[in-house]
Amino acid sequence: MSLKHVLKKFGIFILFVWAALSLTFILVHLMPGDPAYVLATMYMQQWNIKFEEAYKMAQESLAWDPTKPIWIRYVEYFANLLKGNLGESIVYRESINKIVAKSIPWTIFIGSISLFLAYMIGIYLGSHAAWKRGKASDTSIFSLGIVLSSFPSFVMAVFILIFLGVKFKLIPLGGAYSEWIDPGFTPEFIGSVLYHAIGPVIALSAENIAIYILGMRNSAVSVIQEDFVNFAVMRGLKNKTISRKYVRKPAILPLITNLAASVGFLFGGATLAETIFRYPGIGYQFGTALGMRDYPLIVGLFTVQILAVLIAMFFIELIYPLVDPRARER
Amino acid sequence: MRRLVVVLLAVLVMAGVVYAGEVTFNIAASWPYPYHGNPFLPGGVGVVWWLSNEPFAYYVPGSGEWLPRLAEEWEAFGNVMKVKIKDNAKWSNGEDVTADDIITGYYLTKAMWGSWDFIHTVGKVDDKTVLFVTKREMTPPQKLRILTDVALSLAPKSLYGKFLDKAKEVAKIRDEIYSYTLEGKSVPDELNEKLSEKLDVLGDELQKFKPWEELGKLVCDGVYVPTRIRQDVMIFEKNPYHFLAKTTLVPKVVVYRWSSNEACWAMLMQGKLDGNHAASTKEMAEQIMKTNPNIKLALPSDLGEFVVAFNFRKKLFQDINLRKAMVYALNRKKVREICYPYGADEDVYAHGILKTFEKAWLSDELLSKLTKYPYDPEKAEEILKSAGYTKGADGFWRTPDGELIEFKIAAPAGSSDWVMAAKEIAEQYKKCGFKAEAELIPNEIYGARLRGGEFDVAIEFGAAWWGAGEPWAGYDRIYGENGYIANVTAFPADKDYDTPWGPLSPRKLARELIYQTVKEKAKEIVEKLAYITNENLVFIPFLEKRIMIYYNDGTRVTGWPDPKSPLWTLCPGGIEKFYVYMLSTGQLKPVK
Repeated sequence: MSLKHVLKKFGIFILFVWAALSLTFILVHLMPGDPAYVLATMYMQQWNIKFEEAYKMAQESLAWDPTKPIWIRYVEYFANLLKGNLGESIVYRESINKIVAKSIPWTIFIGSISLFLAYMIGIYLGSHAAWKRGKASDTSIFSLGIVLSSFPSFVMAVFILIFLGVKFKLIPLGGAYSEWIDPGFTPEFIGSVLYHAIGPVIALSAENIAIYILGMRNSAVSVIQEDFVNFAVMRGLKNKTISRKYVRKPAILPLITNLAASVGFLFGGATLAETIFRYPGIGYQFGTALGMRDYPLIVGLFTVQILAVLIAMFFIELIYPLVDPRARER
Repeated sequence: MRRLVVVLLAVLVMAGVVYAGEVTFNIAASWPYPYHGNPFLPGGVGVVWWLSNEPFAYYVPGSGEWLPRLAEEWEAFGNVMKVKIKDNAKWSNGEDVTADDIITGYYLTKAMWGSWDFIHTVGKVDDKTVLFVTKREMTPPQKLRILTDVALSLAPKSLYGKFLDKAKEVAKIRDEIYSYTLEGKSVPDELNEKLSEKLDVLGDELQKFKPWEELGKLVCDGVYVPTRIRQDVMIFEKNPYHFLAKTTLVPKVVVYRWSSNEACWAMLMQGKLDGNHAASTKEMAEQIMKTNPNIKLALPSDLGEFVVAFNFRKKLFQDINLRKAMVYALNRKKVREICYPYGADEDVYAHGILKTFEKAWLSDELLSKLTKYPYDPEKAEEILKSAGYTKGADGFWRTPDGELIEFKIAAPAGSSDWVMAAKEIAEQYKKCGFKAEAELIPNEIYGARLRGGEFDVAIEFGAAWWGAGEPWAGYDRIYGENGYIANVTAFPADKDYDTPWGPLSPRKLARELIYQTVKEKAKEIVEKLAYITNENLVFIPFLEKRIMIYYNDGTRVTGWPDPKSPLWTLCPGGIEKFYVYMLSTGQLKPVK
């Protein structure tokens, strides 16, 4: 891979980053709503005061000047971003970097485990179904994929919570770890963290498993019809060897690019897990920021998400030719 | 390999389940995160507000009873109120709660939030006695505000005293501005600029102070103080210096993040929560109680009613005949069953008095004088026809001017109960020949749209007596100059309306009611306002909201009051104060 190729890809990456962030910035600022109004309704209910009084209080509490032109905010946003600064939340009056740093580890934790599990299980089941196509196991796996993909994630999460949590008491009803444990590198803490992650990970994995089962099955079915697979069969190689080396490896290639996009969905999925399983993480911050119309925090959180997806895609573009010779530039 | 996985999982589960070993009281709520602990930052202190801070007293709307908390006693005469703080009232660091602390809280909230504009001065008689002097004779709402507002004890002088001088400067400017407003004069620009400048300085300094981050603790005067704050859970421990520490028998309160109603329902089913008010369908409520027989349901009034509010800026709704036809055409009971099955029916009158309190405020004689509006579509048709309305070939009604009766019923998109109500009402009206449809507006802009008059009819809280529990709060909201419903509906409240007592203006009556201290006289005014409201149909109420409070009796704690007890009416506007009262008085105690 030449340096020129890498630089070209990097240039395109930067262009995409700028376009995606600009679009997000503009769309967020065009959202209807008024942070002072949202805060005022909270004050009104909390303190039983009149709306007008609450609104005045809210305006004075927020670090937000509604008269500041959007283009000045835009320039400030990019200037800060170049320095690695995501800005300051108007509600918390806190650095967004700090807010993200406190919340994102949990999201990455359950997101990456569930993505890994979904990928491994989905790939295995998808290729197995393709290899046994037309047989009972193919029908079962394919049906499972269809059911999981069409099952609303929200309902699935509630189902897991009620069924495994309430009915069979196999998983805890939420939280990241027991409320009585202090964080630390102790077996109690690690055990508690893993135990509490079971529910959210199952819920998050379920939808992704379906995507990989169906994607892998389709890809593998087309690979099975290739001449080199027929040749391998004729050579008398074991089914296991053919399935693993001749089918699964080439069929997996299109799904590698899916992984990058999954990084983005990870954040969306985490919101769901956090809502149902009271799991701490970035989803709570998304919900609060959107509800409160904390524009800088919304933009900051989207920035993290967009950068994660685009960086993942950039790296996949760079490494893809290494795993698939057909994608190498001549 | 499989064995290894099974063993590993078993070890994880064993390690993950840690038994707390102490009796706790578990609830769900929300709080800002990252947590700062500064009440003057937007987002405030969350659930700490009621669990860790004491007002002078609680007021029970259901019984009209005062429950002294921080105050030993109080006395109000003319425009003066003297409040004696309990001798044994202490902060969680062991220091006395003094008059200076209350004065610090007063100035900071006045400076930052512009509160207390009715107060002229606050001073101390001695270390434990505070004196509030109002600008005019103290009204019952003002008395209620001083005694029940926890904001006065939010800021111990030992922590917030460093901001006091600047707060006093801002408060002084606010007073000057308010005096201009009172006299109806315009406020000089330089005064506004001065306020903005001083407020910026104070705000920047005060809002940079994050006690939880800087000190790792909060200094509170409430029964429980937070000791552990995470994004998913908060743990509170008993304040050993609290004046009710001895009678508080539950040492810890665990507050789980209220991330969704579904999460709360699951925790209720498993008995992990002791109290929760996640609204649910009737079926879900029954399922929760069936799964966990210790869970019971109390349904106290939420001190508010759902109504269909008219926009009087629109000519169409200025016609009383149309409004009358609309109320008769609406099966209010059915709307209630669909959108909020546990609400109380408001399907006969439209007088602005909550159903729960109807008998307490309105005499049978008055009720007999009021027009009844039962569901009667035929009567609706009869009224329209006799007023010159006609039905077109398309089945829709036209005004006497030939204008199609077409309107949208606004509801906030994120409030499922109101959305269901708007859709059901639209369906019922369509069947009656009104071209109606539901209009869903994002919650964030709902109030602003309504106050701007950008709607036809809207689902809203009509009479809401939050905090007060008395009709003055509701009628001030409906008719007062700054009343929310008055601003939304633009009902001409200044005008005189015919009544059996002669022509009367509801705005004047509402104001008179606020200042009335004698209950019998207040009742007379309430009856006049109820008459005007009912006969002129400012809105159509369709249910009184009840809070669905699930309580867990027998798992960790026991001693809940009877579901009919007026104590439950402490819940609206801060359910935690009800829990705090029950726990701190020892009524809620650990299960033996």
